Order: sequence, then structure tokens, then C-alpha cells
Amino acid sequence: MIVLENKSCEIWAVGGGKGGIGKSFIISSIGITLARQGKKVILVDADLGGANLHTFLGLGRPKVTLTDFFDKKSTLPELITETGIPNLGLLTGALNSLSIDSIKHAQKRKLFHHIKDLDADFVLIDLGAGTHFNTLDSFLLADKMVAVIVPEMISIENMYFFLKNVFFRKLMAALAEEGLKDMVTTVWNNRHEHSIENRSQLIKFLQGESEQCAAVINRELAQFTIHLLLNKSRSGQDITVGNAAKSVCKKYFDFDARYIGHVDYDEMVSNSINKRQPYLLSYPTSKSARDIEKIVKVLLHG
Amino acid sequence: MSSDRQEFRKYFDVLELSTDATLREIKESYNFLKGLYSGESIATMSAEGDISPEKRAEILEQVEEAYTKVLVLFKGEILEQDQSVLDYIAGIEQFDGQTMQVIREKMGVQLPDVSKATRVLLQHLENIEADNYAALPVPVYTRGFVAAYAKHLLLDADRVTRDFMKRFAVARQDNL
Repeated sequence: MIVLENKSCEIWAVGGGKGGIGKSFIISSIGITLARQGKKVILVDADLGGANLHTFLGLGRPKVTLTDFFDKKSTLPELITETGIPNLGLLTGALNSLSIDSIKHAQKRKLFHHIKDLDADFVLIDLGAGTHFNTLDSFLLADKMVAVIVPEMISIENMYFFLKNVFFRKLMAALAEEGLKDMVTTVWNNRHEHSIENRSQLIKFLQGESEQCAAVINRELAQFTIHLLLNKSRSGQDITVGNAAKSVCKKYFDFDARYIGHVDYDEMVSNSINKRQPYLLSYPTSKSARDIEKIVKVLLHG
Repeated sequence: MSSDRQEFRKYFDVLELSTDATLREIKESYNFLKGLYSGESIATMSAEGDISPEKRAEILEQVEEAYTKVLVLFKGEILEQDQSVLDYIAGIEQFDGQTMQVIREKMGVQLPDVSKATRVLLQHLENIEADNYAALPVPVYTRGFVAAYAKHLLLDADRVTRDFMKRFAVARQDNL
């Protein structure tokens, strides 16, 4: 894990583990809302496999991408595409020549440093689906971690899985920093003796194993705050799923989860994409647009 | 009140509320959590592999305990709001269905809302209020229903169930 200091801009990352749940719609809409409030915003499409954030902004595929940061040594500001919306820039992943795994740790570290140094009030990172370590690290880089769910079982299942992976990665890095890595490895290698079957049980066991371990685990749990956002809600019943998932995060996994609100389903979202018109500009007074505004308010002040 | 509330922090945490929560929020959260962990929701089913039935039962117990403890904070407040309810309750020697009905009506609470919040069938609540003991289910269920109803009215659930079940037992005996 990479720890950065000297914050200049605030980074929000949006993930969720599953594809097709509207992460890109949410992040582009949050970005537009902030930009229209006069904040300087840069959207980063970190979906390295299938970047398509530009489509949500009504743009074609950007000519320059993060590939150029790694290959041609371009600086990040040079790679920002204008979106046609004042205050809103786009930095796109779309790594064609470069396979995701070939980004070295040092390169990634450098990229994160440069992202932190961008001249912006907010940097919003759109993570791809899945739980690749690049995705997990980008999530952990953020000042605010937003996990998107839709009221469907698979989405919620993936979100739990995603968060458990993110936390585990964060925790292992923290334990390693405290020189406890060998202890973790030893316990894991002898897991059958301790009847440990999964990571949650490993964490439970480590908590009881040494005071130092317990202190690190409790500290990391206390600092692990998740903002849950429910997308595509169609009924009051759907909306309660957000609160239910928040409760389960707390009671089952000890995660400090907060439910920041829901965004109602609107069929005009896909209509807008097909017309290459950002939804929020076409339907600024719609119910879903107001939902987004409320969520931005919560993220800013809550 | 605020320093009192800090002592209750862990109970507010269990109910997933801040310590400045209102009585209405507390009731809502209690009913929500009780429903969530006793029923089936996509949020709990998605994490079934992560939790044992015992742990689930433990969560429900904690929620129940937290609710009971936190309600104590509100006893005075609720009663102050309505002196006539306070006077009426103070004068009760034996609780029965009819007294519960009077208290409920004085509080301006609708029976269907009680049913929704407590998840006790409306028909059972009506039978409780009518002291229609013959129509109520076996004692173990009836006791639970009366306790849930009493709690909802912020009454001393132990005392109410004790009084009610005494009459219930006598009535059933007579019918034999």
C-alpha cells in the first residue's frame, strides 16, 4: 500500500466490485455537480481494462491516456482532456499497449504522487470492476471511499467481498509496517491447527494473539470508513437496502460504513449516453439529479 | 441528559444511532434492525457465509438489550409530555388489555401502527385489548405479544406481562 502526504486536492474513489451498477454514471454526475458549484474537478478513469468514463460526458475516446504517462513520460496535466464543461477535466486510463500487471510498484507510486499534486479541488477516481490489487490500492489512496451498490443480491455480495479485500490489503500493509508480517505468515501457514478457514477468522485470531496485533487491527478498523451509495432504486423497499447493507457492514465486519443516500433509477440515463449528452446537463431538475446533489452535499459536509 | 447519554453510548452504537437520537428514531432503528436480523434480507443473505446463526442471535439480543436500556432515558420525557397518561398509568393497579387500550389511545397511537412496528398480527393485538383470552394463542406466544406491545407503549413490560398472564391463566383455567 502506498501512503501519501502533503495533500493538495481531495480524492474520492468510487468502486463496488461489480460491473454495470452505474459507477461511471455516478462519478461523472458527482463531478459535474461539483464543477457546477465552481469547484475544480478532475475525473480519473482508472478502469484500466474498460475505460469509458468519456462516454458519460458525451466525448469520444481521448487521444491521450495514462499510457503516455508511463510510455512517453508525459506529465499528468498534459494528459487532461477538456470536457466542454467548465472546471471539469478528464484523465483516462485506457491502457492499450500496456498490460495492467506490467505497471511496477514504483511507477504506480509515482502516478499516485502526481495525482495528489494535480491542480484541482477534487480528484474523482472511477475504479473498474473486480478486486485486482491496482483497484484496491487506488481505493485506499482516496480520502473518501465510496462503494456503489444496486438493490440486487449479487451486487451486495460483491461489495462485501470487495471491501473485505480492500481492508485485508490495508491491514496486511499496516501489520508489515509494524514488523508483524512473519507472525501473520506463520499463523496463516498453520491455519488448520487454529481452525482458521478465511480471512475474517484470521483477523479474529490475530486480535487474540498479541496485544500489538490487536492494537493495529483496531486502529485500522477505526480508520476504515466506507461511504455506501445505493444506485438504481425503484421503490421505498429498495432504499432500505442501503441501510441494511450499512448495518451488515458494521455488525458482521466491524467496518465503519455510512449510507450516503440513493439515486433513483431513470431510464433517461441510458438515453442520454446514447445521445452523447451528459444526463445531468439534459435533465438537471430530474429526481435522480436531485438525488446526486444531496449525495454531494453529504460527501462534502457529512 | 447529555452526560447520561454518554454512558449509554454503547447502546446507541448498537442501535446505529448518535447519542442525540430522538425517541422516534430509536424506535424506528430498533424495529428496522430487529426485522433485518430476524428476517431475510438481500443484505444479510449476501453475507450468509460470513456469519453463524449464533452470531445472528447474539446481534438480536444486543439490539433488544440496547433498546430496553436506551428507553429508560426517555421515561421521564415521554410522561412529562402528557400528564394525563402519567396520571392514568400511576393509578393502574393491575394491567389488562383494556388499560393498554386506554393508554394507547391517550398517547394517540394507532393499533395498525403498533402491529407494523412490533410485527404482531393486528388480530392478536385486538384480542389483547379486548381481553379476549380464549382467542389468543398459547401462553408462550401471547406473553411475547403482550411484552412487545407494552414495550411499544414504553410501559414496564415485565409488570404488564405478569399482570396480563395472571388473568390469562385464570381465564383459561375456567374454560377447562
